[in-house]
Amino acid sequence: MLHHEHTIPLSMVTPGETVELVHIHGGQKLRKRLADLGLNVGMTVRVMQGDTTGPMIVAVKGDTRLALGRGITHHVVVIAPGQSK
Amino acid sequence: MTLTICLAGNPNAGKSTIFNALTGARQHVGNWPGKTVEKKEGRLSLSGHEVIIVDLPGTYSLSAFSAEEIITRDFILDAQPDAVVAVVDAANLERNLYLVLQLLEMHVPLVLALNMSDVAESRAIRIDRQTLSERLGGVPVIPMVGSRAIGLDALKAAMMRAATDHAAIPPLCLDLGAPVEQEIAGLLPLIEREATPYPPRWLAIKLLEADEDLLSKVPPALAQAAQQAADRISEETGEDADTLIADARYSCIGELVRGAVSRAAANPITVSDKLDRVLAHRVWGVVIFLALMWVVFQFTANVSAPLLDWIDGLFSGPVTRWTVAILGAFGLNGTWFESLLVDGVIGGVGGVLVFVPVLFALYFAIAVLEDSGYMARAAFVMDRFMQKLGLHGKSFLPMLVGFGCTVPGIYATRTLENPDDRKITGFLTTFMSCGARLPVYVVFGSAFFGAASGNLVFALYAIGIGVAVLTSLLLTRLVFKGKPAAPFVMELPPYRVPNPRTVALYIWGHTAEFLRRAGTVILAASVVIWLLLAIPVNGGQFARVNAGDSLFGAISRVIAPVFAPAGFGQWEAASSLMAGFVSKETIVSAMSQIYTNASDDLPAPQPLTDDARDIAVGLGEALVLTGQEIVNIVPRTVNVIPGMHMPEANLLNQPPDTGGDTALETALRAAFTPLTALAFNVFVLLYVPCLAAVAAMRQEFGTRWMGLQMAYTLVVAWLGAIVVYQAGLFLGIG
Repeated sequence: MLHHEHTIPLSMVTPGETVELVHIHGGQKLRKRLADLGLNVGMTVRVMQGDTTGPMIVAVKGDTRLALGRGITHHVVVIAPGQSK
Repeated sequence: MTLTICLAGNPNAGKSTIFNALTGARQHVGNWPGKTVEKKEGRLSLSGHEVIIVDLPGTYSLSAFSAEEIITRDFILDAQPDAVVAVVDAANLERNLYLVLQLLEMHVPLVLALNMSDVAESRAIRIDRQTLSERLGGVPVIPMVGSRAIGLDALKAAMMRAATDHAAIPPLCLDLGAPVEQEIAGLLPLIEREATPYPPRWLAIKLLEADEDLLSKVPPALAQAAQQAADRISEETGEDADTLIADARYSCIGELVRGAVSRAAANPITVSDKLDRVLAHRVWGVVIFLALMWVVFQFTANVSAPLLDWIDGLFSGPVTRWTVAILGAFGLNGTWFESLLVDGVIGGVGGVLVFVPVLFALYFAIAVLEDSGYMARAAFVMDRFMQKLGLHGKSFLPMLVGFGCTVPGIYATRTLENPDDRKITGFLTTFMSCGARLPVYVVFGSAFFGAASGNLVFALYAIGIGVAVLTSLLLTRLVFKGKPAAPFVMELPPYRVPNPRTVALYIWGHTAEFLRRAGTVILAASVVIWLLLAIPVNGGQFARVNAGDSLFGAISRVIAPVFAPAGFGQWEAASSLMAGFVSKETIVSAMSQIYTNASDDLPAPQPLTDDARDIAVGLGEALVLTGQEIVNIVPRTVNVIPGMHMPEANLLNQPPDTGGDTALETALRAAFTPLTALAFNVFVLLYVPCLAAVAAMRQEFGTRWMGLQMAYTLVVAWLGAIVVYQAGLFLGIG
């Protein structure tokens, strides 16, 4: 497993910020589903909308907008904004 | 020669618009065998060939995540279509190419339809088709605007070339990186020795991705070897094999589009994003959603009512009279044959056709919500609330539609992606008290509760919702326990103006499917019920007996004691409930026949020309009233707000429906007490909604699930009625 010093769950990113995805906790099914939709390790996502309790809207791969439930955004690990690897 | 060409692509890539443009009305909506996934097939003739176009379900990938993906994959592997058209959204090329790469891995003759090129252009996304085509190994790339049929001829030509040419497109081999490639090389000899029906390299990749469907289909030794190989990969690299493979595919896509696709800016804020700030807002989104659902409800419940009444009147009036007159000319008046035709067949056909306006209204609403891109937002805003009930955000719409009519409510479960969610939602939809149950409540309400009749109606609606909530908790905690809810992840397509052609074909296709599938079941059952009512048990003549002396009455007498603990164990009550199984609308008319022995006499015959005039005038009036109902959605919506009163349009100056059948009410007061009346109504609320709903359940969820649901609703209704009656007795009400 890759290890990063300053990582946070996607759910804690504030709208408007762009972050790099470093890990997805959880089963192979969830990882594959997210990869199919364009969310894979190493990609950048921009949080468009969301708050700390409900689902989130993120932008990936140009114009695609994805809605992610709370259960997922807690499991997606990203590099905290303003940090580099 | 007949060719099979299928359309594959991401959801929201505009597959249906291209499918509709190709096939027009020559299409057929059905289900994939044994699945609750919709199958669309169409035909067209092209340069001397008869071509069958199969619209495969929208998928993002060809893994085994969903029924849609397995269907798509199996169809391509088993049916070996002559060509596959990959429909991709030009504005989202990278993500869409992910599926295209997987199709190329399967060595199918492929054509790339670069759909919505106009949207891409308007966002200053430039795609070099020539380069893209070369890099994909010569796959033709056709720019299209499916909604305006632009590029259609080029697509037809390209797909016919691909289907007849058999010029092999070189299989695309991605380099998946040394650790993965090494394990693939190790698996290939094993795969070749087992002689599986799948392309070897494709299978090796899928097995390393831990594809559950394929792991269970290949010999255990191979599955085990693949699992060990995947473990070695993750040990060596620190990443899971599936992540590495997905990563390799996306890097390959990066290479494919480098220099071939240019965009003005990365992640621009689009109009859809701005709309989402309101429509997907935590608070405003919910308010707007509820308002829209109210409009949909008005649409299905009220807008369709005038035409429904017209069809009902047409069948019970002129059509019946003409049939009787024609039979009279052959000397068949008063025979069992007349009775079969009039009461069984015409009644049955009419009973099916009355649903047509309701379904038109519902499918119009669903098509507009789906095609505009709003449906995904509805699921998004309601997800927070529905999660608490163990349901999906999209479950709300079918349940709300169910208040109008259960049948379209069941069909509306199709908007959900997960089959389990569909089944649970379908289960709950039957407890939403539909419009046809209301007349029963009203008759009992005015007979027993007078001015407080509204409270009875309200209480029954509330009981229905309560039972639905309890059922939902029961199903999600017990029956579907251990199957974790599908993770809530969905694409939010950009908003767009709905395409009238897509909407029209959606309405037409689905209504025709209802007539074909549910129609036959309902018709058959009406004939069976007629037969039961026609067979005399206490002597008498076939088809000329009272309900009480027929086989139907005899069965009611057998069943009746079952209802004794609920306080209404008389055969008349059981009889009415049995009639209500066909449709809840028939309960009141059956009761007036059974309790007051009144039979609805045919209206006096009149000249054919008068009939023709009445039908035409009736249709005209119905159309005016339909328009009026559409307009009246506004005042009705405003009047929901306390203290507001906005008059409704009343173009034909119709007196308000007084309803009420005093003879029946008197008879009911003799047969029921207020407590048993309440218990009876609770049963009416909760048991099997009607035959059409049962047919819809079978169509959507299969025979087994339909049986389960019928049994459950009967048990719940029975227990509910008993609880009400016994609790009432205990409290000394009665």
